[in-house]
Amino acid sequence: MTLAPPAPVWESGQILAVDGPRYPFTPYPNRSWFKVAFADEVGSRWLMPVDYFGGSLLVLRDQDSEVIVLDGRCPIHGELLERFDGTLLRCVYDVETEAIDMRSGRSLCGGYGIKLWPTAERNGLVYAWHDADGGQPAFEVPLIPEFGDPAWTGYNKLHWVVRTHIQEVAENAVDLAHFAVLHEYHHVPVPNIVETTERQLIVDVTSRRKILGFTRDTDLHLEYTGMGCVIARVASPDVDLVAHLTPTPVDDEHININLSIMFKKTRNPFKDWAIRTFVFRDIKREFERDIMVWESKTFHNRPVLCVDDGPVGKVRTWARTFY
Amino acid sequence: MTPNVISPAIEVRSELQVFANDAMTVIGDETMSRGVATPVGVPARRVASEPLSDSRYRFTYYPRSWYRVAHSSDVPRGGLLSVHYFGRDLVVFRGDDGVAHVLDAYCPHLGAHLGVGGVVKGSAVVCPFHGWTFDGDGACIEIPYCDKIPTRAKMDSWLVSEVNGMIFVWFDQAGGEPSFEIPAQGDKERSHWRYSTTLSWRFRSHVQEVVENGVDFAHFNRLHKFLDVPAPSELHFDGEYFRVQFDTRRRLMGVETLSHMQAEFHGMGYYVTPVTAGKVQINTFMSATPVDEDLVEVKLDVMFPAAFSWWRKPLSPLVKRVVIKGIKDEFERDIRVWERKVYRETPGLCQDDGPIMKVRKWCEQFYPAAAIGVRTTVG
Repeated sequence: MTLAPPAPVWESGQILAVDGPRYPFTPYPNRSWFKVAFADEVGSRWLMPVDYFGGSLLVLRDQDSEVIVLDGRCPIHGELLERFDGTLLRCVYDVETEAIDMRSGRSLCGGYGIKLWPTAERNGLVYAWHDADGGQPAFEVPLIPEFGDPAWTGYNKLHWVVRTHIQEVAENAVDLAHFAVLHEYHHVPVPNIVETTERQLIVDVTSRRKILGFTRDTDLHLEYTGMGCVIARVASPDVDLVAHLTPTPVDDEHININLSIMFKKTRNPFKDWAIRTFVFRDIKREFERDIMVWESKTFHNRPVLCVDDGPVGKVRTWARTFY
Repeated sequence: MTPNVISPAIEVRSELQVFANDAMTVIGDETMSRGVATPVGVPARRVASEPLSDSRYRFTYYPRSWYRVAHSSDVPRGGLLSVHYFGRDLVVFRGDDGVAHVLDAYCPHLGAHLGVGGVVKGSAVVCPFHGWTFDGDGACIEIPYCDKIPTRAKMDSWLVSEVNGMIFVWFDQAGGEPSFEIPAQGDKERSHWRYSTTLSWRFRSHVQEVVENGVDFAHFNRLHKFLDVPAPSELHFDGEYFRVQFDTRRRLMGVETLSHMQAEFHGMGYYVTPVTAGKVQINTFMSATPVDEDLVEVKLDVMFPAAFSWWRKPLSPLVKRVVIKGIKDEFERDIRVWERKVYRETPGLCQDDGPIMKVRKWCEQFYPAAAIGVRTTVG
């Protein structure tokens, strides 16, 4: 079967939203770690404001270089907390008694608290724990041993803000038929393992695909820990890579996707360059095809499936435990 | 005569929307407006008695009718177009056999939008996501990785009629069959007229307002600065069709001119309006399509006689530009009123207002029978 490649560009908001929410479940999954910043973006001398979970968050470090994530708005005025002298946060109104001690999240005048998010700094990223019920972290962010290993490159970063839901990203990994058509593998990959535990989703898929001009058997091992932290390891005879995918909800309609890719270095600097350039470019292109579909698609609660579709239902059941 | 130039749609909505939002702020709780800066140059206004509500009209925004969803030239062979009308996402595509089809936009499989990355193969459309292929009737005819096609794999298809360079779909919420046809132009007419341009607008209104406007004779005098209040020389109702003709005096390019106007309404969505003003003849195909429960899209195909060409009449290009600019300005005056008006179920009419109530009676046939019973008096 031949298919013209899909149009590579999409326009955000090209399709008018239908009435009502697009997904019949919360846009902010609970009991998961979500990336809020890269560790090197956060310092003790400046504020890093980010927009996630339908509001503003502040990411900063205290004098001991501990990362702190807190709500970015003054609990009294609702204004952005913009003034920071190293220990105290103030909103634009700058009343001394409304300063907030960022370590405890307490206002110095007492009474008004500000939400401090449970935070983890690992793998070169800063994660915040989201649970609408206010629960404490039930598990740790998995460590990526390849990060910081001299045998591997640093992060090659990709970044998108997409009008979709985090669950679409998870479903996409086990939607094996779409690899054949949208990503032009021309065959439906074979799943070796698709298993779900309470907090993890593990997918292992073997497929034949073209990498750097050679068609090779490629093994994709994908590990979801919570809804916001994905570690994907791709092993093929030519290229080994680790991709750290971190989708974070921005607001009711949009998610932020960061894809940080590390390649295993070879002895050949030219090959390293080719991998960094061309494999990276291919990943970007393939990912943007998915984004094109995600931006415009609708969500069928009861889709019409055929026998060779992957275990989409299994992932949906797993995802439901986070709502 | 196929339209080949599509003028960019003019967004009248945006600036008026600012007014609407602003008015809401003032009406609402005071604490709501705290800290909300009033846009510079836009006065905060209180809407006197009737705040704008989402349901300005007590009857459906989608009366049954034929509605234009695309121009034929928008969809060449093998072309695929995404549109949004009737509050739904649709795709219009034309197969290799030249037949245009309209389907719902979303694949019944995992919900991808066929218009974003999809392609037309033969006389069918292929979903970009998993390659499921749907024919013009919406039935799935191929799944590239699976031999057995699920019986539920079917999507909604729409009845299409392609007439006068436009693709119409039959819209009936009750799912009924079409009760009338859009007549095609005769050969003689088609050779007489030559397509010039298409004017296009999207605004906050209801298709019935556009229909009523054609027989609201008093507003021609006031809003459009006609020199008199025209009286209809003919008003002819025939089922889903009605025609109105009148003569009026207008000042065109500084010269007082007698113009003869005619409007033929084919259902709620398509009107043919030939106008003769002095020595200039024009013909327009006007189509109004509900976009959602808020907006209407109007497209106006303007035609001049083929004989009125620059090699016969050297000044004709100039005259055409002036005429088109005039139509655009006059129509946008109407839009300004439509965007902000309310609908009076029992309007206070005077003697010379024109046959508005007759036309409303004619319009009622396009609404579901149940909806007419619940009409209540507003204002």
